[in-house]
Amino acid sequence: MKSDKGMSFIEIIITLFIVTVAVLPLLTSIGSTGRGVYSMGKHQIAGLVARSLLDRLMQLPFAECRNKCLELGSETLVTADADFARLSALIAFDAKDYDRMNFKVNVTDASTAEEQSLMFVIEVTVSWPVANSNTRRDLSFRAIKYETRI
Amino acid sequence: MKHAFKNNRQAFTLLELIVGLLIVMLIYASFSRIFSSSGQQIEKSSRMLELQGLLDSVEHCIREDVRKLKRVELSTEANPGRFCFMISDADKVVRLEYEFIAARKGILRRELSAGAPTSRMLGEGHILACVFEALVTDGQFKRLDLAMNLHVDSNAETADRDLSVIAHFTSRCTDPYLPWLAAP
Repeated sequence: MKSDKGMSFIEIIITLFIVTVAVLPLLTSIGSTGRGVYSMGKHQIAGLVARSLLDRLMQLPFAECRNKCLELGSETLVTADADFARLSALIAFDAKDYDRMNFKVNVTDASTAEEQSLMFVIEVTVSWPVANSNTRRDLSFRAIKYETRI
Repeated sequence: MKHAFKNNRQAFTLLELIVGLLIVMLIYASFSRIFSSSGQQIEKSSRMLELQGLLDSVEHCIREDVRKLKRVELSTEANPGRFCFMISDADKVVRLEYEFIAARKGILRRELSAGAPTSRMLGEGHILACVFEALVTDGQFKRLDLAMNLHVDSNAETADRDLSVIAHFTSRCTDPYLPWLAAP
C-alpha cells in the first residue's frame, strides 16, 4: 500500500537538531582561528621583549652581565621593568598587550671551573596568560655570553 | 457495498507550523549571531596580523641596521625623533638616518653612501608616535631604545587597533662616539 504521508513533526525536529549539531564544530573552528591569531600576536610581542632583553644583557661586560642575569632570576612583570617604564612614559603607551606578561632570566654555567670563567648561557623566558584559561604560554631565547668578544 | 475511501493525507496543524517556524527562527538567529561574531573575530584577527606585519618589518629593518652600527653620527638628545649613524656594509661605509615623520605617520630611512642617496618609508600611515633614545656611555654606543605606537584604522564593523612597543637594539661592531667629528 502506497503511503502518502510526509515527514512527521518529530522527524523534522530531529533533523533540525542533527543539522545544528553537525554545524557547531564548523563554527568552533572559526573561533579557534581567531584564538590562533591572538596567540600568534602574543608570541610576536613576547619575542620582541625577549630579543630586546637579551640584547640589553649581552651588551653588558661579562661580570656585570652575570650579576644582572642573576638579579632577574625571578618572574618579573614586563611593565615593571625600569627601562620599560621609563620609555613607555615618553609616548602615549597602551600596555594592554603586555597584561600579566612576565619575564625571567636563567643562567646556566659550564661544567668546568675554567670554562665557567669564560662563558655562561643566558636564557630569557617570557610567559603570558592564555585567554579564557588559567594556563600560561612561554617562549625562550638563549645566547652564550663569552668573557671576550669573538 | 461500496468501500469507503479513508483520506489519510494529514497536513501539519497550525500549531505545529508555528512551533516549527519558531524553532527555525531561533536556530537562524543563533547561527547569524555566531557567524557575525566569527566575522568580527576574523576581522580583528586580520587587523592584528596587519599590525604584526608592520611591527615585524620596522623592527627587523632597524635591528639589522643597528647591528652593523660602527659609529653614531647624530645622537638623539636634541631630536628624539631622529637617529643617524654609520655602518660598514660589504666593505663600504654607509650613513643611515632614521627619522620619524609625524605628518606621514611613518619612519623615513635614508641611506647615504657614495652613490645616489636612497630613502624609503617604514610603516607609512600607521606609526602615531616614535621616540629614539641612544645610550652612549663614555663615548661608546651601548644601545638604541625605541618606543613606538602603531595603529590600524577601523572599518564599519571593527574598532581601531593599536599596539605600543618598546624595543632595544645593540651593535656588534661599535667604534667610540666622537660628537666633534660628527657630520653636519
